[in-house]
Amino acid sequence: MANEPVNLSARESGAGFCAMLRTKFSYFRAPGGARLIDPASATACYTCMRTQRPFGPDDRPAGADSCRGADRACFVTED
Amino acid sequence: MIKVDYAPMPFVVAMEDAMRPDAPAVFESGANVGSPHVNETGNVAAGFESAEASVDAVYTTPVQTHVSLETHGAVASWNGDELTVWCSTQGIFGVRDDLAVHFSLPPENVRVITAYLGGGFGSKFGAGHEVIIAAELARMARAPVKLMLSRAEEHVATGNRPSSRQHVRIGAARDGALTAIELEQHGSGGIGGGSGSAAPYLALYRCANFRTRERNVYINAGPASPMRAPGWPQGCFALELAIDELARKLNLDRLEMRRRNNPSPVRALEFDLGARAFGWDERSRTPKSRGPIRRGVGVASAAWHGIGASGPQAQCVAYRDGRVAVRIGTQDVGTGTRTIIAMVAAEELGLPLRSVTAEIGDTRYLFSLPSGGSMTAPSTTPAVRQAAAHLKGKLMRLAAPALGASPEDLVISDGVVRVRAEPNRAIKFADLCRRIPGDSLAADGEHVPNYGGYSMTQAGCQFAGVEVDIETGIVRVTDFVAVHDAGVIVDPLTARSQVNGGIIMGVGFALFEDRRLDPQTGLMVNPTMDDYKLPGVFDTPEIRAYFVEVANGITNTGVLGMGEAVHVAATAAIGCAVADAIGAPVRDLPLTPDRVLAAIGAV
Amino acid sequence: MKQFAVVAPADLASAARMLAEPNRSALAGGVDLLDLLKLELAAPAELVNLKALGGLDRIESAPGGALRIGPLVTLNQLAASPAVRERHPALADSAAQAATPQVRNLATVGGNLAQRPRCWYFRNPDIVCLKKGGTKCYAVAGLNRYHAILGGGPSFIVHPSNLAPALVAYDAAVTLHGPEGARKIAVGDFFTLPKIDPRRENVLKPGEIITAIEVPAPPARARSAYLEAREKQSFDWPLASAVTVIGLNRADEVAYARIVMGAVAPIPWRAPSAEKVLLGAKLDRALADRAAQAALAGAAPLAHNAYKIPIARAMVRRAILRAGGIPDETA
Repeated sequence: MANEPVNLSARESGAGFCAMLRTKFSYFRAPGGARLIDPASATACYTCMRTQRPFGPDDRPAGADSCRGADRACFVTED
Repeated sequence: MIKVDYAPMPFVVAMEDAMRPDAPAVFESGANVGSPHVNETGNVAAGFESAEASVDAVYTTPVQTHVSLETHGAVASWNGDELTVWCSTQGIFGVRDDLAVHFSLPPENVRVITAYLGGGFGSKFGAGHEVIIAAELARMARAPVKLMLSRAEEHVATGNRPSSRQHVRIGAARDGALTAIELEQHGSGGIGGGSGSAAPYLALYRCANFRTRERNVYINAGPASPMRAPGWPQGCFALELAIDELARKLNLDRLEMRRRNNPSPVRALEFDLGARAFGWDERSRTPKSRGPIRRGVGVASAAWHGIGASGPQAQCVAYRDGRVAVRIGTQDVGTGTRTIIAMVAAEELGLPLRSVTAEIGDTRYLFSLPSGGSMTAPSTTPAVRQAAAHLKGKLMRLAAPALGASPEDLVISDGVVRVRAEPNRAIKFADLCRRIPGDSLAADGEHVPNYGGYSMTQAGCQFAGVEVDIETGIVRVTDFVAVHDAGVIVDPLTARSQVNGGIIMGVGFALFEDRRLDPQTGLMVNPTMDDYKLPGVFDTPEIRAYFVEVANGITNTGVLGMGEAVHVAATAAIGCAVADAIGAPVRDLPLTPDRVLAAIGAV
Repeated sequence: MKQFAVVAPADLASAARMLAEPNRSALAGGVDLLDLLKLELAAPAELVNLKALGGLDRIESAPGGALRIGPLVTLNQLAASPAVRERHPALADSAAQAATPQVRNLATVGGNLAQRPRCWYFRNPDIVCLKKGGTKCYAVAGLNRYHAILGGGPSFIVHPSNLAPALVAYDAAVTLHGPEGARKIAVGDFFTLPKIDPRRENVLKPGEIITAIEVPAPPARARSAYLEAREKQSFDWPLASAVTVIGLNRADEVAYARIVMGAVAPIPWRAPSAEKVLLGAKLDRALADRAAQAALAGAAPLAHNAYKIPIARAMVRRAILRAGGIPDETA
């Protein structure tokens, strides 16, 4: 559930996010080793490592929805 | 020389203005109002139909800033292609990795040190612009560069708790059982997002039918960042005030109303303990007034998941001279991490606390997680205990030949290793260390995945007493009783200190704090610690903390984090107490004199 | 913060000469000055250190009860002085309730009177408001919850001095030394309204230094009280304050009355209409209430500060009751 308090074991961690996308839990890892980025969270604050701001170099907001999949020119594939 | 030309552009700094169709677009790429996060269960319409009474009201909370006493910043120093950064951060490894990415360096070329940290409250994860800029300047200057933000910069640019506007509908049956909860929420994280506040609506009370819709609204203001239980204090304030309003309609005692909807057996116990300590029955039924001073009481529920995660690894080292060091790449965000790590190692090794030194805050130590989500104590202490246990095993094997016994027959306590069955056969820890063949004996430990345990939720509740001067509208919080489950309490002193901090921050959110933006210029008018009002010593209530130590069985220490659990209910409890004191809810934070006077019809 | 030098004047005359030069600031406790320097609202090349001048940090009391207060007397000194506490308790209380113990140990009486306003538009380095030579007072259409409800226009600051209302209520006078000699004026005349000049709060001329505050002995059977209402109980500026000085005749009627409010106007705000309500009458709750109503009768709030009216009214009423020894039930 998106608004449950932090419960890492219950979180599904998605893949396919831009390598430059940051949010608090992206510094944590899910059991499978992927960065913990939860598109269902209503409280996650996102920033872009390129700008250190909540938007990317293209001035569009950074976020789990908008920084997933390579449809932005600034998208960087994760290793 | 850099020449900058500025052109004024349309802007919007009030959320309600940004929601209008003709509002200036904060981002050209999209609307100011985001699409909703929806949570829905059961049948809300049917729930309201079966309700005996319901409340329909709008509650608002302002932007609160973190106001860490130490601002964001760093000292950066290069040696060839090796970068060392002394940084005010909650996550040294995150900063290391971000810097490695930014400068295209292998992570081992970056060292981040945070020996001490003057607060973070969620605002200090990763390498922010100030850290990157310091490192860039240091590279260009070929000299160390220190960059610490000013208080005004800190207020404006390093994050904040988003605002909220919560339209709450809540219904209950005649016996107080909640039948439906509906939340239409808007919140602004400035040019950022993450302003949801529905979590407590779903977690604190039992209700079969609920629907919450959370939307973020962009405004031209500094971005939000995580802040001490993101979304919870805002949601808790609105929900708990609504429950009080509902209890009044049903003519139910407000604590009884909560008991009837409480899903947690631990909190049921806490309600009883807290009510006795606070004197709820007497104080809630006999409101006392002295001239214009009205007294009121409030109670609110807290919950959090202060359980840890795997990742942290610790090293425990005994030296020939009898010293023991425990090293782990965590950082102390102000919660007493350094202290409790040393305590856990000392206890496991059977040594007095003074013989153990905790060394933290350096990426040269083994990895640990960022300090956030109340996860530091529950994530680090199991790794530390395991490292200490492994070291103890090695020490027992070292002691066995000297005592003519097998290692498993040995015990250590108070700095002496003894044969269990014959305590007189013993060797002092200091003498044992002199048998270490080299200079030191080291062992590692790690946080193994949580065992499962009793519950993933920790319960709490807080009771607040206030005095309101109805001629001036000025509110004083007189006293608090806080009852919390934080698993095993390692150090009562630092645990109580966290309760104090969580409540004092709640007093600030309740009574004073508000990032005020000027509609004419878009500037923050109160970016100082004078104009941005924070509780001082006379604004701090008497605080009594009680811990319900649930043996949760989640890890080898059973410790839970508590930094957030102790904060979520504080503002709500004060809000409920103020409504009780003046006989009318003040539904907008902060509860400033103008609002209190308006609520009682004095202006 | 810009670089500056601190210079030590040899005597009062040279201090006045130094301060008459452009780009000079007087340094006493340095409390407000340091704030202004950090915000670069003041960027003097030299600070003229008045502490180098001897003898300005004493409280002298005459046998009849009159006080002569040096400008470098600290607020804590004033608050703790037995002479002040005995005959001028409202002045001692107004000093005792300012800021914090640390600030009160540094802040001086002269600096308290000459400090600049706390208006958040004035203090914002990115805003050029009327007080800084700009064309408008941003409080008018902006965020004005702490601004003036009396005497405002074209600027709506409130004067931040805690001591000033008490000094006005006790009919104190201030002595100013300048390059052209000394002058003595009533404290009430020291402060000046923005309609005369919005860029200043007082009549200090270039080079002038406050050298003494003289407080006459209070009238016969005088009683006084100071009260202030703050949002925060620690380290906050009042939303409103009130000083009442009352003298009674042998029939216990009010023969002398001073009512002065602070934090409601650009200057300490005396309320003669409220004083008139008290004169010749015997003190009771109803009278105090009528006087408090009269004190705020002319209030003209801005969009967000009408709430200050009932608060100021409560402070006036309670100050009258406290001065009159009538319990106000909040103590």
